[in-house]
Amino acid sequence: MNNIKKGAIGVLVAGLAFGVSMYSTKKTQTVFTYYKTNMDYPSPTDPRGYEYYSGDMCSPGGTLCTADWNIGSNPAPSNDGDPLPTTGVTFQSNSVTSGHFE
Amino acid sequence: METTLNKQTAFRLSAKTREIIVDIIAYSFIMLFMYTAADKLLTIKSFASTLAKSPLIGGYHMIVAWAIPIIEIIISIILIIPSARKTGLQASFLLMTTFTLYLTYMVFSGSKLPCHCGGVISTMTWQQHIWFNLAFVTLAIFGITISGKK
Repeated sequence: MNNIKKGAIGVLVAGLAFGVSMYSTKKTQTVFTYYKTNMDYPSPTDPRGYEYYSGDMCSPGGTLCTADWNIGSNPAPSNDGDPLPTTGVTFQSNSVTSGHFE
Repeated sequence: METTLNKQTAFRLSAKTREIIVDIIAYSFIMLFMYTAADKLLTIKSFASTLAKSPLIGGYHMIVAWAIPIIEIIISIILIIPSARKTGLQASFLLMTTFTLYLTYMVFSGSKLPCHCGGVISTMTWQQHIWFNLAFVTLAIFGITISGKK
């Protein structure tokens, strides 16, 4: 295989990987990770007590730190501390992470 | 003596085979780096926040958050150029070794581990992440070794 063909395949592979990554990241933009900040509502599937944070706020210890929620047509969270809407949201099974919010 | 000679024959690869293997390894690294770079760039704010919690990175989190995907893209471009493929594999080896050492330090130092690693391997635990990286480090070493043989 000559060098031009090898380079072309390399560009193709790079473009595909970049594109697939962008597509899959964008596609999951209705699914967000929310932190259980209020343990007055300890059930992971209860949308109450969840808040959005862009960074990692988990610390070791505890069984419920975050869970992924599909917010459907609700507006995407834009600021840290935005609460999870209580309607039109779907809990994502097997998405719970252990630890606790700090 | 005879056994040694037989082994050498068994592991002798033709130039064409070596070339194909090096190409496949290079394409694997291009895929990995471009996929993770795109993911990091699209979620740069979240990625930087996670890095900010690391005791080794701390205040440099914004610089590191931008530097990592940029370095990954640069290495991918080097790997695309066939004549520079060995240099690209050496750079890949260094980057993956750095990642692996960082992960190993975080796991064994007893540091408070952030919950998310980000990228294509976000569902992995830190231990699984180390094994994943070690596989790519091994791949890079193999690629460098056979690309240097005449």
